[in-house]
Amino acid sequence: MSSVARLDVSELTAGYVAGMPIISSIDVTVGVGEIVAVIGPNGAGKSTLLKAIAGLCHIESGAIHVDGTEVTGIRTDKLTRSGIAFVPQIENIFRSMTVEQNLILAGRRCDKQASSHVEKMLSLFPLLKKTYKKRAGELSGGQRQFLALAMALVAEPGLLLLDEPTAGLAPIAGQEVLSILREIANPGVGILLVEQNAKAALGLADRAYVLADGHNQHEGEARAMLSDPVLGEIYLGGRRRGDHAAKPV
Amino acid sequence: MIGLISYLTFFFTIALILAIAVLGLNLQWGFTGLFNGGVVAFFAAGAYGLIMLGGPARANEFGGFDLPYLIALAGGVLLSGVLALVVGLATTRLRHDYLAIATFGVAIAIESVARNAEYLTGGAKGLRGFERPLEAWVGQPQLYSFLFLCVVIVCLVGVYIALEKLVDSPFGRLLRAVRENERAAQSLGKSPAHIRLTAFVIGAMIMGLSGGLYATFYAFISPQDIAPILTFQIWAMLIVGGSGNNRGAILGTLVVWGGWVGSGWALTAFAPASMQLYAGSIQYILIGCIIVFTLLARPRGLLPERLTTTQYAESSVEKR
Amino acid sequence: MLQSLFDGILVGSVLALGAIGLTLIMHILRFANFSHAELLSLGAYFALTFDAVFGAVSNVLVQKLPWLSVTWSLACAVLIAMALTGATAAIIDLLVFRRLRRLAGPLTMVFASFGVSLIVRNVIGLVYGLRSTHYNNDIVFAMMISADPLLLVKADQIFIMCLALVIMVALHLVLTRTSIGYTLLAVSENPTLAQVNGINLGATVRLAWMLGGGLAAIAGFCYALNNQLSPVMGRDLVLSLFAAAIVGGIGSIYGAVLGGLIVGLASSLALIIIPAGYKPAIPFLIILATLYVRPNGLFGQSR
Repeated sequence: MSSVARLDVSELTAGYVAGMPIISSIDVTVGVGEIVAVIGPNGAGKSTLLKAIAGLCHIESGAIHVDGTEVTGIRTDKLTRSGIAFVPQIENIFRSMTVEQNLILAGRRCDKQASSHVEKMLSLFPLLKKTYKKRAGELSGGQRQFLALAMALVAEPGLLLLDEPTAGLAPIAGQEVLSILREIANPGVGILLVEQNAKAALGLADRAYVLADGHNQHEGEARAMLSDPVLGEIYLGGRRRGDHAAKPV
Repeated sequence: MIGLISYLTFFFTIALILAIAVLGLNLQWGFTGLFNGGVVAFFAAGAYGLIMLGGPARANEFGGFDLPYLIALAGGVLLSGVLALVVGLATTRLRHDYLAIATFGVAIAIESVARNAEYLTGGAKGLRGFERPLEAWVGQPQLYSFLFLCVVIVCLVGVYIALEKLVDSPFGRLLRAVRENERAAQSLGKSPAHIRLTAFVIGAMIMGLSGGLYATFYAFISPQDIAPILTFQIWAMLIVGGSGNNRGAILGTLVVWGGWVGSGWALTAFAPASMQLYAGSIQYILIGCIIVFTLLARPRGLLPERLTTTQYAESSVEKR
Repeated sequence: MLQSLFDGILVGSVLALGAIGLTLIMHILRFANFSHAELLSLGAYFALTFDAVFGAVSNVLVQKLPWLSVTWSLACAVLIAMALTGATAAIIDLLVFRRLRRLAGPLTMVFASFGVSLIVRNVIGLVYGLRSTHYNNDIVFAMMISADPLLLVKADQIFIMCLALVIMVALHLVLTRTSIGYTLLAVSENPTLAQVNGINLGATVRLAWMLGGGLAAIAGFCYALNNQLSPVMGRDLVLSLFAAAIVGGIGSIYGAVLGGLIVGLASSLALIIIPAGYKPAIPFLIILATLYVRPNGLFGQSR
């Protein structure tokens, strides 16, 4: 791992309303070319963590560094233009615009060679080629997720923040989305991935953090966590039970 | 001295009648967060309703049933309520500013009915010939004015007490719940649309009562009395006083009405003759400035709401 | 009947221009801006002022455009009026609405917009006088296109329709072909996602105000050219503009165009059966009917 991490979050406390933090004193790092998963039960603050890094939350204290530069409290659009790409869980594409328009809009953020970037994305996601002139709102769930990923990648970010990219997808489509992430990380992109499907995420990631109640609970090598029987019982199995109990009847 | 007393009686009668409408608006906006952009429509329904039901018969025109006063007044109030129901049913389920647009529209529609439907409203000349209750029995005009002021005060106090009770009741807590966080109210198993509609209709009926008393006082109603500026004046009264606080609403009424009457007097007395034509414009600008600057500089008004609200958990809303 | 259709389309195209800015702001900032209609008056009066200025500067400019009652100086003045009205809209946002966005909810902005409209309307009255006026006091004769059914048309009216059409086509091209257009579409669909995609929200909001203000100025000019200038023209138009935006669906620019035409036609045709005095109430009936039947309008999304 290089000396400067792609992402270094230290002691981050943040929420949606001032004085009401959802996450507190969170520490997370993502190295160059590293895939890091964040798992934990519903309401643990996983999405809030991503939104805070993306500049969409109220930050109470702590610091966020990207490639060694402090970016705490910087406006979302500036963060994006400085190479941080965030893919929200839902509503992550512009439904009223075509696939082409979505990609051009997303590519506009960096330079004027948008078209060559768009070409690159189409070769990475051949599926989008067929739907190029379609309205994004007409795409299937999997296609939408690929479009959202392509929109994030078109500006060649150094850090990719993904909020549950497989939520609501059929298992095969979800697997397809996850499998492409390694390809993305290889050239050095750091990926911070929030996933509900903890097993799939740990199978893919290099390292992982477990969040509960807005706090760091555990961190370690993803492989080791997958095979850790105690952790598996508490956070992976336990998480599922918690999920069922939390669902409204 | 007599002149001063009779002027003060007149001033307070109008101010306190308007204060009743401000209290109705406070129920809608202050406590429930409903934007009523057409206060004057409900005021007008009460006023016209009263005179149409309680006034003398007119040749070839509808209305003039000569009903007993209290029944006519109640009829006017009911008319305001029905009008609110029609507008509310269409809008309380929707985007909150749709209610603002629809109520603004209803005021314009009512005004054009008042101006044009001569058969119903007497058109531009209005409805005259209403006999004020017990006026002949009291005899002396000044005494009557004073007694009428007392009646207005009784109505105001009655509405005030009723609203305070309502706001402190479980229903009142629901209103604030709807205002603060619709989802939370929904999760309590209550339909926010229904709660909002109820509050809207009750508030409109209070405005109707205010209109009825106004028409009684003048024994006459015409389109002049229901100009759109009345809505803005009533709004200014509420926010200057402090929305969500009934005492603030009454205080705000006295302050703003005092300012309105005072500025009108000052303009007549001191402005050069060439500017007299524009006195109205200047007064309207003043009302506009009062609204904008109060919202910017002192959004909670002179007497702020006594807050017992819970911090609303926006996080749970944001989450999904 | 034919005359009513023509008048309806004429008024409708003016309403469409005015409603585009209204629907954009209503959607992006989530509040019904009751002061938007005052921008139409403001634009119309700015044009009047600069028409006089240009006319005084140069004799050439007081020549009329062929067939029309519009002079070259007035045409230039309209361009200035567009810029000034757009700037005024952005400044009002900066002074009032932007502060309230930070302090309070959208309904407080609705409220403030009533105050702003009172101030703007009456300041116009103070500055320009309360009486209505015209850009040009010459009598313009209408051409009889057809005697039965009767159809009287003025050249200015054809000009207004063409102008509206040109502006709408231009707007369509901007929205579908340029990055500015994509930015506006993106922000009006999903402001947060737009930011995530690197769009500066504050700058786009300013852009929307300027665009809306500029279009309002043209709409105000067209309305005043066809009717007259009066300080209360904003008040007379505000409900029709809202009706156009609601019928089309809040946030949809194309919806606002179609909504404007529908409201214009409906108002014009309704006058065949309804006495003219009730004209101000017609947009209200259209709004109420839309809210009961199709609350999201023709192209709107539920929010």
